[in-house]
Amino acid sequence: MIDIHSHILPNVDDGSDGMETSLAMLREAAGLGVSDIFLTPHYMRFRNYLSPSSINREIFSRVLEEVKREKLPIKLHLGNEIYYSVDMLDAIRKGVVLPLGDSDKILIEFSLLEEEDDIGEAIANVISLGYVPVIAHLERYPYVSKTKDYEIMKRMGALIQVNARSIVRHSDFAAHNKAMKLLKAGLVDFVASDQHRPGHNHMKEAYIFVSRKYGKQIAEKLFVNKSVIK
Amino acid sequence: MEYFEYHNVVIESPNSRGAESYRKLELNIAMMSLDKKVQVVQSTSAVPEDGKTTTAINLAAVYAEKKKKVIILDLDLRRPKIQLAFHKPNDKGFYDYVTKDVDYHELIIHDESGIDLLLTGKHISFPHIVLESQKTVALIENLRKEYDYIIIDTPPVLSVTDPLIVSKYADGVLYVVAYNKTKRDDAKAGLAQLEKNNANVLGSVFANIDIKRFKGYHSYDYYNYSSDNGKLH
Repeated sequence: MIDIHSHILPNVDDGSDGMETSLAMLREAAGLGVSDIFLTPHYMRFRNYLSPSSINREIFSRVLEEVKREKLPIKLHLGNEIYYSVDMLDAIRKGVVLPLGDSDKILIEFSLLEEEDDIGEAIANVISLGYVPVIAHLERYPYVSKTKDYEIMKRMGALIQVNARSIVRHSDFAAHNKAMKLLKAGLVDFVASDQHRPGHNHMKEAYIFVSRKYGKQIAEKLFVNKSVIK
Repeated sequence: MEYFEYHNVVIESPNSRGAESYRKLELNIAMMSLDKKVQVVQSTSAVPEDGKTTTAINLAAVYAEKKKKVIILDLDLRRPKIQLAFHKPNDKGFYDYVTKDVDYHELIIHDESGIDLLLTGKHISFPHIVLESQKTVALIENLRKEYDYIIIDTPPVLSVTDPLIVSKYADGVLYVVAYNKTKRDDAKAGLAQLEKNNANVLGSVFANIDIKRFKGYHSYDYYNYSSDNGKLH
């Protein structure tokens, strides 16, 4: 599997709190059958997660060394989960925030509470910079729930990522329902873990679920989407 | 959620009937400029989605085709669209000029079509106040010295007062009516407002818009126009 969204890079956001935790998460992912994982720390002004790419790259190289030492069968890629505001366009231009690995895709998220920025505007802006926006956990935004809106986003050129957790856990009922709706409509491009700490990786479970419900071919398309890997 | 896709037929299909109709529009404006030069042209409509932005970008393309120096100034500060028509990021523009005193030359985008653009940039809280400010008037006066034509896209007349403010410093107003869409009463009411404000309405551009609707996704494609000096029947 290819996991394009995780908070495994240590000590830069609300994800991993240290190298040991990061390694535990990576061991777990590898054990579940994840072959490629993107470390996508938040870049989010209002929570002050502002670790720039220069620092993230250094930390990333230390994680790489540890993975090599342990001979973990998992390939690491660096990126960001960028909390969108119009100011982020300059951060993208200047390389303060990163696309997903060597790809032209950029993982962007929006407020989980209320509509702050027009998602359509964000998509158009990111595309005009020459990148393909991937909307992080689209099922989690309470203010977007119409299939029509999802379709417009796709038509505009955005890709859609859904969290594995939303598919198999029903605790957030609204998110689960929307994840199901997106899957049923065939609008999902990536299922990812969005893992913040060990013991919370639902990739395998979700793969089995999607595989049973929609067939192995669809599951492969959503969990092993190679378009982010060169 | 809505998204708009614009087609500049003058650039994309220069031999089409649509492109030809914009060349006629330019010719008509030229005829009206014989006594007093029409250099600052405002594009507006009665209600949204009637083709004012499409008119603005295609007219600009005709000027560029004629090797005139032309700029589109997006003063629809509420629902800006020019960036979508030209696929440009909209994070720098009029906002920076107004609020941060940035030299507007640094904010102008030189599009490969030969058309210059001054986008809105970030959202401005009180558009009508900003539009009435000396800074905005000074910008238009400076652009007059640097460009052959300045085309201003503005919000619809029946939505907000912004277009009426802009009409005070525009030499002429193109009033766009989609004859397959705009309601007759709306079209008349909008025009009456412009006239009440002594705007120099150059003509009503009758747009025949083929809006391909894809569940809220609007694609402005084929276009036709005629002008009869602002008289609506």
